[in-house]
Amino acid sequence: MSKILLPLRVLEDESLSPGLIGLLAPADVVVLGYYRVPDQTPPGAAREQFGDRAQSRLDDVAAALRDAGATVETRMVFTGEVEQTIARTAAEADADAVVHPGSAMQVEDVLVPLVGRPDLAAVAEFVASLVAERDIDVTTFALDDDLTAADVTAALADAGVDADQLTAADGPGGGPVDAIASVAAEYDAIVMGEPEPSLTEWVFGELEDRVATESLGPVFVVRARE
Amino acid sequence: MGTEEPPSPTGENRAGEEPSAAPVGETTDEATVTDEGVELERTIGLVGGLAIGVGTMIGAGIFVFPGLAAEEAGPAAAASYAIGGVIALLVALPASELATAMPRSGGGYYFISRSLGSLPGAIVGISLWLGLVFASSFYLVGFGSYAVELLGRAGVSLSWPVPPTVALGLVFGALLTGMSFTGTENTAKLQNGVVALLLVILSVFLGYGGLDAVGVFGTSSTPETFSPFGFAPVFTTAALVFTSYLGFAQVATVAGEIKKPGRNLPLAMVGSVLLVTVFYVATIFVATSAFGSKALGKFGETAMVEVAGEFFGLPGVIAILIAGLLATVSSANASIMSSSRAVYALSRDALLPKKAGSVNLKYGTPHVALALAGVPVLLLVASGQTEVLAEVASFLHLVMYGLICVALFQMRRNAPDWYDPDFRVPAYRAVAGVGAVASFGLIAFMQRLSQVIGVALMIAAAAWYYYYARDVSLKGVL
Repeated sequence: MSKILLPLRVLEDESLSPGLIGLLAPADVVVLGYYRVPDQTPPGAAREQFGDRAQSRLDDVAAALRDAGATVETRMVFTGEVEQTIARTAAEADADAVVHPGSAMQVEDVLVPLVGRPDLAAVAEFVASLVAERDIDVTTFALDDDLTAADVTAALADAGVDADQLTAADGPGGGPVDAIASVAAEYDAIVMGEPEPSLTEWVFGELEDRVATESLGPVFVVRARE
Repeated sequence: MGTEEPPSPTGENRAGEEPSAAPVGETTDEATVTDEGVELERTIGLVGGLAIGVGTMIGAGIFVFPGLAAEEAGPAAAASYAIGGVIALLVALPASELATAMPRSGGGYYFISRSLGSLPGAIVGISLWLGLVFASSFYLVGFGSYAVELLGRAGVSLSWPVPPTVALGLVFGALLTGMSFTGTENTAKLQNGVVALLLVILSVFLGYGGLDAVGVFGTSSTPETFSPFGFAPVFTTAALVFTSYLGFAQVATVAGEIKKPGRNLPLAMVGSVLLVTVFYVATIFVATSAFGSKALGKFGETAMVEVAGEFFGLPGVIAILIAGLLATVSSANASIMSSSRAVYALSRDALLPKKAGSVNLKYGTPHVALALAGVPVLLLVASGQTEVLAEVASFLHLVMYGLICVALFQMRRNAPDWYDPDFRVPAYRAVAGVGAVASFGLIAFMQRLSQVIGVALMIAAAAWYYYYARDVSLKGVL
């Protein structure tokens, strides 16, 4: 069973869509409720004011996931640096993936663009656990020159994804974000590897965030472990 | 942390509010975990901590005081700065030990209320709040001087009914307070960038100016008498310029947000004091060798602009003007934010009404605390009294510094079980003893008006405590 970290801005009413709850049902979920504290505010002051309300929202989300069948832990963090908090909690929980919640009524197909570190096996394994025993189509394309469509399908098949569910498409070309963005809206969810830090990552912010903005549905980012 | 659970604060204030139960269950390098399991992320690293310390201090020491100090003490103003630096260091060491034992928001107020009790705590907490208000107004008046100088050099002369220095300081003070209400993102990163830029500009300027002064380029300047007015002005000037050393304690006010507090708190506090001391002494050396101290005194708050012009012509003038604007505004902003944190710490302990620490629902900012800092800042800027503002700020801080040293004695002698600092001051009796005597002693060299205002504010703080929160007990608790 894969372990998934689900960061959620609980105080701003960020909530879970039915499609995502369905996808997470068989998983081990760590719900990370967080509140972004402005630089002017001591985190302790925000906790004093909002702590109870945040905790009760977080408990509601956890209850919804438990009802769907997931194993749930919760954590509540008041933070000035959201990225740092997500990275820390993901490492502490030893999560396989982090999900940007997005919204989907029902998940019938998943896009698996392969970018970033060559952690093909980890991504394939995660995809396999996500779609196991469900009627979800997997479409994949490689955006890396070193990978062929055959490599990708082979890895997914090895991990246990049914050949009937699998489609290997040609990459639409262009940079990774443009390529993903141009087709993202057509799929209910996206699974990708953790982006490698690069210059554009520094300048334009996290690749995964941009993908999450472009796609409407949930985006799973499989963590690169050392 | 010790094995035994420390006791919690007790008692209630006049409004029937109790100190908030100590939220801390566990302190890790990356977060503070409350006893309910809620985590408070630590987000400020060593660089961020140094930037808070240096950023708060350097605006005053380099961009406002050199002219005023040289006028009073001559080239010996360098010694005044050195004295200030030594006192700051003697306090930074005990403050570091206490901060690593109690890495919580509130800084000096927190240590003193926990080790010496709630009356000294209330006096220091209110002094810290108001001291930062005075400091911030002082920086804004400095900012106004630079803005007027910049406009003047651009050919804009202002003929307003109010002094333009004050008017521009007021406008920017209002702007800073307004912006902090709405909750700005990335001010911390911006602060780091500003401090880095300032250090680069100053290093180039002081490096070149220093070489020039010792005669590497052109002729060596004739040194004037080191202390033309005798040694008494060296101490009065030290008391005046001590405002240039208030920033290191601001690192402790955000101790709850510093990553790896055991390592980063002492490094940031001691490091920022050492760094600015070197810059200050070098600045005075360069400035007094470029012009005589009398001429510097005539240039007033913006003397450094003239010095830069002497070495680098127009580009130097522009660079120092911009640096001066950035430095004073970042000092003012950092002080308003620290001041609001002091208000929060007081309200958390029920020494001020709880309302004062409440967080705005829309913006997530402590709007009452920010107003309690920002509004009095504007009133004081309107006074336009650079030297008195600076001295009262120093007065209120020095009282806290002296008591921090006393608090170290108290903690070392009656160490509670939970007292387990990661950093221990070597030869603490000597360091904290001299630190306390020097801090209280420096107050004696201030102007009478500053002393009167300082004492009056402390008496008012004590009166407030007896009226409002006499029953609150904080001693020996976490």
